[in-house]
Amino acid sequence: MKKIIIALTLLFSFNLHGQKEIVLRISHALNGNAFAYNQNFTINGVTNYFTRLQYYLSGISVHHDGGQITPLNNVYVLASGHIKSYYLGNYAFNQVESISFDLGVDQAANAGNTVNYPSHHPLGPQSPPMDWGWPSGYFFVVSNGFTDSNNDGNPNASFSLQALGNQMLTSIDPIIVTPSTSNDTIFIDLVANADKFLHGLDLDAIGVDHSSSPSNLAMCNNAINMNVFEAGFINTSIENEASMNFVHVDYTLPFAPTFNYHFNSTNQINLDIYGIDGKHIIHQSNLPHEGSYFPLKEFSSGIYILSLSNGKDKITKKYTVTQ
Amino acid sequence: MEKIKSPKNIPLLSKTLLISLALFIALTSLNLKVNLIEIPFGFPEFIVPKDNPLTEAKIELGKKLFFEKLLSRDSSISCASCHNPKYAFTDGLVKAKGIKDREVTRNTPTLTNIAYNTSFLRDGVNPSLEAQVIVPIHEKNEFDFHILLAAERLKKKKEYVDLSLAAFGEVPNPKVISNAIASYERTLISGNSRYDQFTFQKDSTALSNNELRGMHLFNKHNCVSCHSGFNFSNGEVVNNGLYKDYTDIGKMRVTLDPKDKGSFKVPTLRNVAITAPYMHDGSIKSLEAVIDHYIRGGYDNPNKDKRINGIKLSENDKQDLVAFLKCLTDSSFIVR
Ligand code: HEC
Ligand code: HEC
Repeated sequence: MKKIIIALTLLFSFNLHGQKEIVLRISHALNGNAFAYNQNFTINGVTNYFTRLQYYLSGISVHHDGGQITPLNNVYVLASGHIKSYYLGNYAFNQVESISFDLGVDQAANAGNTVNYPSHHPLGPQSPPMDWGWPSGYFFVVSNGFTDSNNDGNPNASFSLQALGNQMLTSIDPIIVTPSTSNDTIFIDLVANADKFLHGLDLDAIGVDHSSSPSNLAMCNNAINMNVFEAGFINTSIENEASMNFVHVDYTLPFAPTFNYHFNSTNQINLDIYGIDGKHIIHQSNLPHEGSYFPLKEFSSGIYILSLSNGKDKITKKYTVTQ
Repeated sequence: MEKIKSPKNIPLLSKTLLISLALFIALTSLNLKVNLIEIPFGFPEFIVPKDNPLTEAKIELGKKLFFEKLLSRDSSISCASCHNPKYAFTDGLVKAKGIKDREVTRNTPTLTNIAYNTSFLRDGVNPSLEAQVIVPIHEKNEFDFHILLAAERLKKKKEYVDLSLAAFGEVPNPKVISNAIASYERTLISGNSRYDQFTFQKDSTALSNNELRGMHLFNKHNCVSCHSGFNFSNGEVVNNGLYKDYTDIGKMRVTLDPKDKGSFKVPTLRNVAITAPYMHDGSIKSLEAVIDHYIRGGYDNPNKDKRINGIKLSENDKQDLVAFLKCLTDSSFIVR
């Protein structure tokens, strides 16, 4: 009898049968088209582009299987404009109906310290940093880029909004979704209209604002007021596939740039960095098909060549390091 | 059912064994505490975060890191470059200087008895010693570096790998850096000034008559309403009327509440004689000039604390008050 109970308990605790991988897929959009850094879009009648867009999601709840609600405790998403897929965990869901979440980091986690998380955790130390340090606390939304300040249609003036403080937490009501399922994965598809984060903000006048200011609050609240998030999916592969592969260098830390890349096919990526003299410096294999790569290495000032390849397509890009 | 009988003396024996074991554990852990950090007479125990208990190994690593220049981008300065033990962990500058002589916007505060603080930085906006460690590492005008790259540098040094494994069972990483340095900072306890010898160690000869008069004036003129308790700080973040209009808005930079404009943490006055210049911006050169500020009652501004309203002191009173502040210097703390 005892043995059977033990066997049953074991079976129960290790039984993942019926569990599905839940993946949140966020197609970022600019004026309704697929998101890209350095790509012009208009908001408030002004032309702008993003050089960095990152934000946190927490307090995620999934409504499934006829009105059941499962809060996904301790699940955090650090979303980036160029990244689509975020793995939320394995759950015994059959049918997902809607999803709700908060934009930002909940109060308890926001009082914590990045160093208590492993470096790959969304709340761990990031590069470029997603925490301020001076007061501890995470940036809930970081949106950096350029705006057209002289009406010539070319964004020329930099802006940097980085929202900080518990009061920025913005609840997004349940969004009814039509998930797609493949094998044991359920994809919850959302579109994030990134341009709408900036609705009503005079970016040229704001310039650099890393704080709990009314402008930053407005940016966060635009998520609900302007319906930044809605159900849907932007299929980028209809367009020329090769042109949708890209790498964007984030120079927030000019001495240690971060690479944001995206490949359309889901094959794994090999990354190589060479000196301008052709010397091979870094090789990294089996990276996901989209992501951010921060080389944990110090480079001396100069020009380097980054090469990303998925076996079929290859992107090379020159970048600079300024010590 | 048959019970197996046990001789009566066995449970008794095990009881005694248990008690003595418990006693042994209690005593050794007590000993450990006393060995790690001596809490001075009259001082309460301080709180250590549950997830970063103090150990000898962490303190040793933390101390080495505190003096380690590799943590700055160009390896030119360490924490101790600004928090120099000789000046009670300050630098003697009006405003601190980071790598490449970049000027920081504020004056370097002392780390004396920092273990007792509950909020950190001049405006008290940082919640823990552990979290504070990352601030100078990332700050452009201080180390201008990144905690992940700092950890990579340490990983390449065998001595750090060894110390880190001994202290945390992990190779150098951000948690190791922050928890070790915070542990070392908690050992910076100063409680053997002549004031302590007089007040807590009951040595009635430790203070002169003038210094005693100064202590009386310190209480009488309500300095003690803010600079209170064994550490001469009530931990409040207030506006002491330094300016009519503040360029550094203090706590308001985070709360954005105009009521917090010009609010700064009440600093400890321990070792104050060797931490000149004074205030968040190092704008007051001497203790005499600080007293003049309080005599005048500072400058009126809407946020000035009600307890700052001008005091009457004769030239003699002033000298005695300064004499009292000087006897808060703990020479045994400075030589380390
Ligand atoms: C360039 C000079 C400089 C360096 C280097 C520096 N600090 Fe500081 N430190 C300061 C200044 C200035 C402040 C006050 C900052 C503020 O209030 O915004 C400060 C504040 C602090 C505080 C808060 C004190 C209090 O009373 O709340 C602690 C703790 C501290 N530093 C520890 C460190 C550690 C640990 C390091 C090394 C990792 C370090 N500092 C490196 C200048 C420096
Ligand atoms: C309302 C609270 C309050 C009262 C009362 C008060 N102080 Fe202060 N004191 C402060 C604050 C706040 C600061 C730091 C201000 C800053 O950083 O700009 C300070 C700073 C100082 C400093 C400089 C310390 C340093 O390291 O920079 C000295 C010395 C000092 N006070 C002495 C006194 C004396 C003597 C009295 C009584 C005459 C007094 N204080 C009364 C709040 C108070």
